[in-house]
Amino acid sequence: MNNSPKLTPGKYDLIVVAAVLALAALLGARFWLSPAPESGTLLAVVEIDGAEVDRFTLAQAAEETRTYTNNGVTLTVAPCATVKRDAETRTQTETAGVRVVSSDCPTQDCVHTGQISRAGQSIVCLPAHIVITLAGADADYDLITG
Amino acid sequence: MRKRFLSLLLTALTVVSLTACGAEKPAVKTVYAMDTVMTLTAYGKNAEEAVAAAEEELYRLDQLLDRFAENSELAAINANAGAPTGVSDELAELIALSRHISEKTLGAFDPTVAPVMDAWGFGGESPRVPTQPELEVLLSTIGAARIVISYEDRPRVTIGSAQALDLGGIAKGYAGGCVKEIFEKYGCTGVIDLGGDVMLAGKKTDGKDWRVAVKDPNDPSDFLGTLTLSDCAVVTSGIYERNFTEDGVLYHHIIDPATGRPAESGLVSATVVCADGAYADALSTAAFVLGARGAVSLCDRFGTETPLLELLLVTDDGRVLCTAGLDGIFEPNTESGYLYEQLS
Amino acid sequence: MKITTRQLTLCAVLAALALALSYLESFFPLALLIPLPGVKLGLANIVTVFALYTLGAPMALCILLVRCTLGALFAGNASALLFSLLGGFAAMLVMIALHKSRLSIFGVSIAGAAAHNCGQVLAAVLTLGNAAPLSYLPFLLLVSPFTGALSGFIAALLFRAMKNIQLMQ
Repeated sequence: MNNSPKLTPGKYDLIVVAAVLALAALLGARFWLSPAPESGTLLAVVEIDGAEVDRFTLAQAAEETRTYTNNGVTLTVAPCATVKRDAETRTQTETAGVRVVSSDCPTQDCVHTGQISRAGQSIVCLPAHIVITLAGADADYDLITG
Repeated sequence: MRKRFLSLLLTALTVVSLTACGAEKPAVKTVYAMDTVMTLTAYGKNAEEAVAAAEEELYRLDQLLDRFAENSELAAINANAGAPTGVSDELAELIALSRHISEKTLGAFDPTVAPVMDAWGFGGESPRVPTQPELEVLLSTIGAARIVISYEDRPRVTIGSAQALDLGGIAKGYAGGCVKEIFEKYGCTGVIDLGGDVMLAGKKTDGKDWRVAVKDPNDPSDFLGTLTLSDCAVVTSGIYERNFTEDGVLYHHIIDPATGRPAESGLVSATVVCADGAYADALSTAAFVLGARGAVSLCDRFGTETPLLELLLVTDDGRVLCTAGLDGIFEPNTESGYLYEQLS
Repeated sequence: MKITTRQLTLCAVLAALALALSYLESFFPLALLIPLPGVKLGLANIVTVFALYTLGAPMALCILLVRCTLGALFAGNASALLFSLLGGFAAMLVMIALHKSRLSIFGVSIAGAAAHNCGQVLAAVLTLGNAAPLSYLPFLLLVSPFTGALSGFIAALLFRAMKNIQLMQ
């Protein structure tokens, strides 16, 4: 069972390093190039108690409604679609934003916020400690007030 | 071979660590306090410590300034109304400031409006419209001038026996200022977002001013324009924040201390830009209650006390009014459909 | 499989050493240099690699299991156990596969570090229930040749020092 390892690095070790770096590059490419944020693609980030629990692009938002529960409150997030005229196909639906479509919190502020569609905007459900923020690189402002 | 391998690896590690330092990632923390959600973003070497200290400070201030918190000094003042209550220097100073601002705004901002707010049920789960006789009785209790602060071995605050103090109109702004001081103490810059009211600490890491988009009070998905500034507070009071509708009428939470009812001043929102957070918070309430005409005078009256004081008001007839000092700072969104005018 | 007392003692000592190294590396603020969640120097892997060559795969696996369980227990953090186990076992499997090949201890450690990161990201994906943590993997993999080379280097020093000592008689 006693095995003496080779203690000096050789060329095979460099192959391992190259393989690991290649894997990193491959995964990196897959991740950063394919759901490429074309200008305007927004990412919805959901935080519960200040910690991120979910993130999805608006396109992914259209695939399913998502539900989050915390502090005894359950809320459901749904995409908001807008219909665009397209010469070829007559109509085209595009997800413009997200909104909280239902919640069992007492004040319903999150539902009343309605749709958010721009980077930096957020929907807050205070009793649930849930915050949904839209993040996007292309905004011409750093933060929102009001 | 081995030496080369290792030295190459070490060099690369150094390079990687240097580039990692160059990319300044802020420390971000979300804090639930003062009945809202706050986001702290700090840039700098000690950013993590700064936000951790800021979080502690926010919880401390929440406890100090919340009249519903058990054992808070403020609750004690209210419970002991009519008699002196010993308080900390910090609270005494803030109450004194509130009284001062109340007097100078001719009562438009008034921390003693709490009994009226309670009658309306704002802050609770079932708000209601109080009757006129009810309001008339309560109105007689309002008056910050009746707050007495004496300084002996420790400050003592006395309010009228039927009065109650609520610092909600100044607490968040004050807290923003405290957090900014913490950021500065740790050598950090950043943004302190307290439920939509912001305090900017320093400038951005590239030396430029922050670009702050101002929400359109009538259309949450749109903006009125962008403010480009640094190192100051931006606080807004508006009808859209806390309100309820009964019988088709919208009742918002900014009570006019003179009438006991939601202020009807022709404004939809009032935004104050000020170097001091507490002033920004209190004056945004005052500006809203006073309306466009009355708010202009605030800049003159308080101009000597605070270095920067500018207003941005949205009227209910579709106009956005800005004080002259915002020229060059505020860039209107020309597609918003509002009429942009200078406030004078 | 017969285990000698000597082997058993060595196992115990190595397990304790691995725990101590885990604790030690928590003091090194690697996260300040490389701000990624789950990035560690992986010093405990030195023990894993040493055990693998000295005692063989079965013993090394036991030491790993003990280190992960006790480590999570001492840290008071049960969720860390999943991360520790998945990361540790992924590294272990890869190193077992490679340790008898033509690779030096460096190559084996680097491969182990890379596998360790993959295991940790997998644990994060399982915990969060979505694929978001995968976005960290490319960066973690970029760092793994360095952390792996570091543990390999230290392990090599260890073997060099132990050359004249007969651990197993």
